[in-house]
Amino acid sequence: MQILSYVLKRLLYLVPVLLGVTLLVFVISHAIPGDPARMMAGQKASHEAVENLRRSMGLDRPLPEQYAAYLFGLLRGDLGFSIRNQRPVIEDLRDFFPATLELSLASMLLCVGVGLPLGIVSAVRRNRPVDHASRVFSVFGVSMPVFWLGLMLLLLFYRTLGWLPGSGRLDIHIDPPAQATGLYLIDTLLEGSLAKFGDALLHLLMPAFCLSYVYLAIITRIVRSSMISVMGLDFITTARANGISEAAIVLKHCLKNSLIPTVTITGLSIGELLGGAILTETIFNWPGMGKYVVDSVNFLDFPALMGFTLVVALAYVLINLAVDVLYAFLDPQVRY
Amino acid sequence: MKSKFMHVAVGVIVAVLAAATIGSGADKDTLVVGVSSDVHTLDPAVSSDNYDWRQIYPAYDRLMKYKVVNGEGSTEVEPMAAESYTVSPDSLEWTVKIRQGITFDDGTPLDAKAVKFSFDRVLKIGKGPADNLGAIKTVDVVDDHTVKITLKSPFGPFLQTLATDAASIVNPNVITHEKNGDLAQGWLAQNMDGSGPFKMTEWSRGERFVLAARDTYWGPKPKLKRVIVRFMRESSDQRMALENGDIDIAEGILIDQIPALEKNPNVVVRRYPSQLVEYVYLNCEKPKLQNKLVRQALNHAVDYQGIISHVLRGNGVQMRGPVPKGMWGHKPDVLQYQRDPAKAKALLKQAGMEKLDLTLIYSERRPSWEQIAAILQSNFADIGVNLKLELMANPTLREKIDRGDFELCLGAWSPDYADPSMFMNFWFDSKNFGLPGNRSRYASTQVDELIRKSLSLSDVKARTELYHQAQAIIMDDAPYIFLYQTQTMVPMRKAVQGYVFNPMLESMYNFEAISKE
Repeated sequence: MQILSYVLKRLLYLVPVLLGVTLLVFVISHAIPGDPARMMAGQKASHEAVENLRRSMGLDRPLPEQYAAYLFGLLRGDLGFSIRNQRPVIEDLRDFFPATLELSLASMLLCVGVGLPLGIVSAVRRNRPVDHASRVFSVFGVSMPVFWLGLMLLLLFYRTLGWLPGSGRLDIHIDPPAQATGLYLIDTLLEGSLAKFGDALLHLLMPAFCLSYVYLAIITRIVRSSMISVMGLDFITTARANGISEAAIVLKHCLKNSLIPTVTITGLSIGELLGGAILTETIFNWPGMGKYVVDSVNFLDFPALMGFTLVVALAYVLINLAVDVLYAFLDPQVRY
Repeated sequence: MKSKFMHVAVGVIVAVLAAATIGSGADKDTLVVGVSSDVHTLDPAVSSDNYDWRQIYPAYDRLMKYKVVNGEGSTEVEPMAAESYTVSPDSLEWTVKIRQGITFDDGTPLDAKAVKFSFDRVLKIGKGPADNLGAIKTVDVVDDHTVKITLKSPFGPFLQTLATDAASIVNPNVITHEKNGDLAQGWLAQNMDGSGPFKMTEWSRGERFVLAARDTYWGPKPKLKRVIVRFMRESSDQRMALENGDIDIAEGILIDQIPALEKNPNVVVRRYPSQLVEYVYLNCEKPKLQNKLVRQALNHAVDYQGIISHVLRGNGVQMRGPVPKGMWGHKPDVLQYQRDPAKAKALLKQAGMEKLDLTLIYSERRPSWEQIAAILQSNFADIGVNLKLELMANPTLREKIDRGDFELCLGAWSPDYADPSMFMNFWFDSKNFGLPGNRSRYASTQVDELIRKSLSLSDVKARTELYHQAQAIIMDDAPYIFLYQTQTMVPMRKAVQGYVFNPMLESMYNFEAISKE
């Protein structure tokens, strides 16, 4: 019950956080010199055409009035109207968010699926060749620029070897699946097309690896170091003295105790990944939020920017809440 | 048990990957074009962007179209949905007969009512495209297939404006999709209802836009069945896809990658003289630039050939006067500034401004600008002018240009329709200060008179004469530094045939005539 009231309290905190975010983005986007009406009208448009447009977009109203109208719309679930795409922002987000979500989830799967075992092996086989190799791998991951890595992957696996498809979410000639979830791996299966599913999976490999590499490296290092510190503690020596098998010691006792920092970093990483993997999405031509937000900034499309920021802030807060709740399960000493 | 599960899992993965199609390759009926920008809106009454027009243009008919002469694009127009036209002696009333038998998908005829609806809609909405049809006062239906267009005042390039994207003829039934008096803008932003050779079948935002040939098209049947416009922002991504044969045309490949691309035997890089020009605005209202001797000195300081060979790798020519080569009204013997630092210094001395500090603003909108700015800084230093460079976001740059809040600024321009007024009247009319055209805020009563008179005439010879007179004055006043006229490069697979470049339709394609071997 205590945890339930804690969750409810945290959810209530969401309201001022999101209000603050909208206000901040509204103020910043209006402080940037530039005229969205002019951007929309085109540079050769006459001043009269620009003024007409400004009126029709409601941009001639005082700023507090515009902000109040935005908030009022928000209460009704209306995220505003995209200046650039000429349609409700919510429709844009429905189109672009699933691509980012799919890429982020695939990246996280790689991070945890590879980073965790690699960290464990590294810790258990400390200072052996496999540990050295894993550390070199991690150093590369942390230090390699995503832009360069993405291009090299494409050059090698797509252009030179032809093993993997190029950019995008599906082959150019394949029609996208009907949008049920927006996640192609699920939608293609719902459509019953194994070929499309396979194609979507292959298209996901390189961008997901490219995006995950940095976080994968961080997770590997964190798991390794926290495992090593736990392995030196007295209770592990006691467990060994009691004749518990090495595998059980590593997986049951050490791993569980070293998971808290790993969960923290994983939670934060998901938030960051959802915030738009701008470079990865650009290199791999991935039609997600990263590309969307860059275009919106270039066009001064502030309703789109506010919608994007709201979604990311919401995801961040919820993921962090989930991480906090998870602590209580991982560590009995943590109580709310 | 575990091992059995592993075997099944591996089996499924192998089967799925085997079923997936890697590089399925393009078929002959489908053209794939790699482009660098997504589409924003599909409404011809709203969009002012060539990247939108690329999709809109082939889906609609217009009264006029650009001529193709000897397989090459021209700036002259000829009837398309119009059958013929007559004009009153005062050049104010244009009576256009519309071709019979053209219908929209729902069977509604493309007739006088449809033309009136479309033009009235553009003008009523009043966004960017309304300026292209701005000469129109009224559109009246004479009979089912005759329309009378009355102009506010005589307007030389009127016929040319009927070939612009703004003049696309929309099915009047779109009004059933109107919401809150928006004249169906919400619906047409995401849908199309035209009678052109292609129609939209899919738009996956950020991924691709698919057009299919219209079976019922009244004109010559398109050779392609499908066109896929693939949005690919990265130049290197486009290059790899083109070389691998996954796309047939790539329009966003950076100039420095072209030489390597040309070594691929399956790829050809076609080059066309374009009407896209790059130039520097010298703000004539700023105290340091009010004296024309200073502006002339700056014009003499620039290493034009160096910029063309270094930045464009030779793919361009120095401008001679404001009207580019290939556009009627171009004056081949007008003064062309050349690099002459000694003369520039002398001019500055004569103006009493031997030491001068100036600021140049520019954005990252065009990849060439960063390099040009650096070259200008070095060139100006040679004549004792200290040029400060200020890079800023494009919306901010536009705002500053519009307000005249700058000294020097880098810019690019391409005409919307084939008429020298797109340069002469936009750039020099003192009524047109700001972003819409006269970005140097240049004012000359004499030039105003000449260009305004030229715009009101329809006789090309008389108009040319007036524009030539104006150009001589302008070049002496030097309100801009005219850098170069670019060459458009379109890299494509050798199998692509029938592509015709039209300088009025930059980033747009004649899909109806393209085929693949």
